[in-house]
Amino acid sequence: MRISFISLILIVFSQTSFSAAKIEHWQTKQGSPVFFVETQGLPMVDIRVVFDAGSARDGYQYGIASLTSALLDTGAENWSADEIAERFESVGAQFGAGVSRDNAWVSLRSLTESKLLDKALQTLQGILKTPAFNETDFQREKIRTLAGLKHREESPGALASLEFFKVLYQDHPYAHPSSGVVETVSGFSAEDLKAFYKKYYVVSNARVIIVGDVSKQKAMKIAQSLVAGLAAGTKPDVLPEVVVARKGITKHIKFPSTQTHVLAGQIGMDRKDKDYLSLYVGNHILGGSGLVSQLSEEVREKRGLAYSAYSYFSPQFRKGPFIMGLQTRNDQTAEAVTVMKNTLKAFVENGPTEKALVAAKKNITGGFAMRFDTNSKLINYVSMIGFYELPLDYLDTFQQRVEAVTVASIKDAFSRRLKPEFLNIITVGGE
Amino acid sequence: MEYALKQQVYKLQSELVSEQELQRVKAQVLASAVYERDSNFYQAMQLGMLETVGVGWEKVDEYVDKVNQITAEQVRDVARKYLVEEKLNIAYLDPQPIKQQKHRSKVAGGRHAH
Repeated sequence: MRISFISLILIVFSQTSFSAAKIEHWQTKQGSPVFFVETQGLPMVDIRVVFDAGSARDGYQYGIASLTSALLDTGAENWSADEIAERFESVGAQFGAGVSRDNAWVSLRSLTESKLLDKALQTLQGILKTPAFNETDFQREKIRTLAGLKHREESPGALASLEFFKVLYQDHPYAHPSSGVVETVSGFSAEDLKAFYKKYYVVSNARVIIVGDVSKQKAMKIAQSLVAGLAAGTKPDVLPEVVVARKGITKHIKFPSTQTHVLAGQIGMDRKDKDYLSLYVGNHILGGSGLVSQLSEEVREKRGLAYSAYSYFSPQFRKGPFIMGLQTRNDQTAEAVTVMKNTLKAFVENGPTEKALVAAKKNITGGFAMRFDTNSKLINYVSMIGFYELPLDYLDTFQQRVEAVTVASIKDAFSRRLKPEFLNIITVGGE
Repeated sequence: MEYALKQQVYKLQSELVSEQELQRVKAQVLASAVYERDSNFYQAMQLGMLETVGVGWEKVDEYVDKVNQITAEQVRDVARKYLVEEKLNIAYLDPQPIKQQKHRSKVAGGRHAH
């Protein structure tokens, strides 16, 4: 195999400078949506099959989506876990699987040479179609998961995050951690996982995303073959709306550490939020741009209270959280929290300066092409667009939409959406 | 443990690796050579590195071809030539009591400026 490097670089460069990415979209014969971007220059392809089977679908079995996903490649067809790993390895393919609150995915990266790709695809099909959920593999993964969950109790950062989501989301399916809790996971059986798989890993709940050096024809075949063996199933019910509480909870968890972890925030926005761009650009200035953000300026540069301080919106299918975070020496916690609160309050009341907005826009639009200048980064965006049903020209119009944000639109969006008086504040650390 | 590790080296020196195993490794070399190029940054680094050490950037295109030409005999010969007892270094790490460490955050807010 020979690739001329000069031409390769030219191809990649010219692609990103003209159009962000041309996403093609269709449905398989069975009705699963497919999203495809053809990229040329490297004989490789990235494939992802995404299901609405994240931890928000756990019900009361917290952690079942995650454990189901972890078991997928431990046995399928008549292959053992080792044989599956060997099948992928022998053709240089990489398999992955994982869950978030909103979804579960399996991913494959393979070379496009048919001999190699075919074996990788065949293995992936097997995993999707006939995962075994063997008792021995199940017990091993369960023990591993439980060990991880116990380990979490030793991390003040993880404890803060657990409590933060619990406080924000109450009885909403986003409240519990994707990996589950010891009390629920220890009660699972392999049969529970099988039932979860049967319900959610179905055609009507699948989306296929393909990015790479294959023709549309080939992409159609690949997508078709991956969902062909799955049961038709039904689309799960739409997740319930998040209730935004009109109060804030402050809670401290004692932990034998010299640093205190602070998380403060409230319910933020969803993926299709009308205020998305104003909140996103505004947050970039408030706490999303690293050391030059306002939070970092107030907490770190002016007062030396923390190594870093940040804020972000984490948009989900339903409203995800708005989070501010920092860690500080135990005796400085109260001061750090006050600075955090005041910085947010001032931003919500006054918005950013025109100068800060111009700088933020330049930073966001200037670095935009670099966010998907590789296939692996691009497939993340295409998966997001596909799963959340965002417009196919989302990437093409992104910079324009950033440019359209004004000081007034940021001020308006922040004052409607964030209520500093209802901030939830979780601290974990020593006295 | 040490004995088991040495046994593996000895096996490499005395037996020929199977064709299947060789093919598996070659497929992985090819795959990682392609996957690595899915990054302008890495491409630049690779070319720069080859130039810096005096090999010349043109060599980058030969890598996969050359790996594909390797035979089981060559693997055995190299193992015999370089993996020798006189040049073996062994490091032992005795478990130490764990001191309480300060937890460093992942810098979620941005990268560290030095």
